Amino acid sequence: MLDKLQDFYNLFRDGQSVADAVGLKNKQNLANAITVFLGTALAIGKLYGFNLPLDDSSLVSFGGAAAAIWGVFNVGATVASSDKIGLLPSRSGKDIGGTDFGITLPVPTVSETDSPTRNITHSSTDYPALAGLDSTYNG
Amino acid sequence: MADNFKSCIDRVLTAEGNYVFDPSDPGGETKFGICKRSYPNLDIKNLTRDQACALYHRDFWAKLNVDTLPISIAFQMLDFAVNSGSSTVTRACQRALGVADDGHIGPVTLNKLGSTEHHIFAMRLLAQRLRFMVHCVNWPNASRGWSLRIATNLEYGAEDA
Repeated sequence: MLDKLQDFYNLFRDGQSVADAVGLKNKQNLANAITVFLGTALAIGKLYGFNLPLDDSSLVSFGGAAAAIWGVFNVGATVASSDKIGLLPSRSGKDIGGTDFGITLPVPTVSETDSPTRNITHSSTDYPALAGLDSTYNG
Repeated sequence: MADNFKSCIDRVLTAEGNYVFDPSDPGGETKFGICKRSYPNLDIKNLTRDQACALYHRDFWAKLNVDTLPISIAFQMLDFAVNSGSSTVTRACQRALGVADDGHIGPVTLNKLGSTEHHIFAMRLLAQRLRFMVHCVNWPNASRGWSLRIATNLEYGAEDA
């Protein structure tokens, strides 16, 4: 039993994959389809008066439990049957990263002189009173 | 509107004093409201009134582009700018008008200004100015003088309405 659990756990590690990923994926797809079919049939049946001997609270409880169990399996099946994709880091510590092909864009540098609102030197021709003064405004 | 600047600057210079060098003032040496921090290469102590007026026209009045505005608005904006800088005034004006305070006077701001009564805008701008002042680091030292200046500007606002 512990071996089975260990095998299941290993499916979540990177670099691991099941022997028959395609088969497992097909089974997962089939199970998903059955779930949808049963849910739809139940709803249609109820519309035509075929009520299952389940009250609303029982149905919710049953559905919740089924969804929880199915959800765990579904996540596991999705991850395990996706070849070479895992959730946890490799136990062996091997580098799983590939080459980073990200583009490095040049970042322009901004100097003090690029700022248009700092250290503006004006012509004093329009202001005779300021002639001969270094009236640079550092506002 | 050409006389507006003279009327406004006379009011500003009534509030701004002669040469002072208060160590607690972050502006440093100041004369006619022109401070060393804003004009680092200027001989503040020997600045004349005409030179101060020219600086106010060039660096505040012209930049704020208030020449075509009525004096009730132009004065409040100029006086605020002299105290706190043109960019602060621009944003405060936008907040007073209830438009986005992006610091850029564009069609949205101008349209709102055109549809707002001038004396109401002036009062809202003074409220913004007072709010700005109480958050300044120099408020504990300068609060008395600044509050009196706001009181005087309220009177100018009533006069201009």
